[in-house]
Amino acid sequence: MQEDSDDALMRRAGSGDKAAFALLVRRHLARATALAQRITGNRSDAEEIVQEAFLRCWQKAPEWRPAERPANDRAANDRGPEGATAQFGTWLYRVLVNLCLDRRRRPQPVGIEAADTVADSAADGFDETARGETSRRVQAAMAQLPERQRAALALCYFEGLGNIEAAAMLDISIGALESLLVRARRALREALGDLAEEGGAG
Amino acid sequence: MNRLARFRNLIGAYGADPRRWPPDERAEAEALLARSAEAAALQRRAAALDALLDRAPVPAAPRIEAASLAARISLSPQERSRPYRYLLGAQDKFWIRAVGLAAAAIIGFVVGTTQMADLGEPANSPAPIDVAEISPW
Repeated sequence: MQEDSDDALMRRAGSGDKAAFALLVRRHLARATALAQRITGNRSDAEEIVQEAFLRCWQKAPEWRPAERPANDRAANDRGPEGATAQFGTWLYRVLVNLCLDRRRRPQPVGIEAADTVADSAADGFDETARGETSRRVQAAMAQLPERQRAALALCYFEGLGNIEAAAMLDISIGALESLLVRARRALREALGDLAEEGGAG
Repeated sequence: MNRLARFRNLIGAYGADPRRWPPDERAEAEALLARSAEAAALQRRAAALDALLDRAPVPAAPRIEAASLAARISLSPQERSRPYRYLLGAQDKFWIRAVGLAAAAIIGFVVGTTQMADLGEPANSPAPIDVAEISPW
């Protein structure tokens, strides 16, 4: 039996179907958390933002309607069957990215849950086992990037999204997206120049 | 536009791997890569940075459990629009504006025609003054 698309699940969630919503959360939780961690660089912030994004998803579900996909959205179409789920995905990740970029303007929560997560030793939420000096340097250089540049890099490079979809998530033109990416990579090259030369062409 | 300049921008934005390049520009960029030493050098430089980015730490798995998160969130009320929005559907803003404009036009027409009627000569208007009778000449 063919699995329900995200769009179909979202429509069912809009009718109050909690099981459909739970399936959506299960499908997107890991990727959403990873993306938020890449943008914020902080595990607790990322988890808080992901919860807020899913809350909005549930609240807005009754009104949610898939928008018309641009005819030239080849990035989404290239992914085959996944392309069919990209409308909900684009919407969810757009909400998520906006929450990540807006988070500094919001008051920070003080509560039991927040205290609990801050106490974690891996507060930035990246896998400690894979860390070496190069890894730390790359992470530090990325942390220095302006958030919009980091978000563009997270979407295009680490999540592997097409430029149309990534630009839609950031609510900018493709030209503006490319400008963010070029500036991000240039800054990283400057920060990691010695390592890049050591790595050379390899 | 200069193809090498576009290639430089493309590779500067998306990195060395052609699979990351926009599909509608990939073929042309790869053709340029095959015949231009400068393009090949740009790609090697981008590949060195890509290799570093690939060593960026991987985000850890979420500590939140999907089922419990969904269960907790779905206790919250959902947002339902006002009934007229359902009646008007996705084009509601257009129809709201159209109805508003039509109402303004009708009111304007009614007010305008009423005032035009007032401009007509009143039935009990006083007799016109004969200017010649009061003239000293």
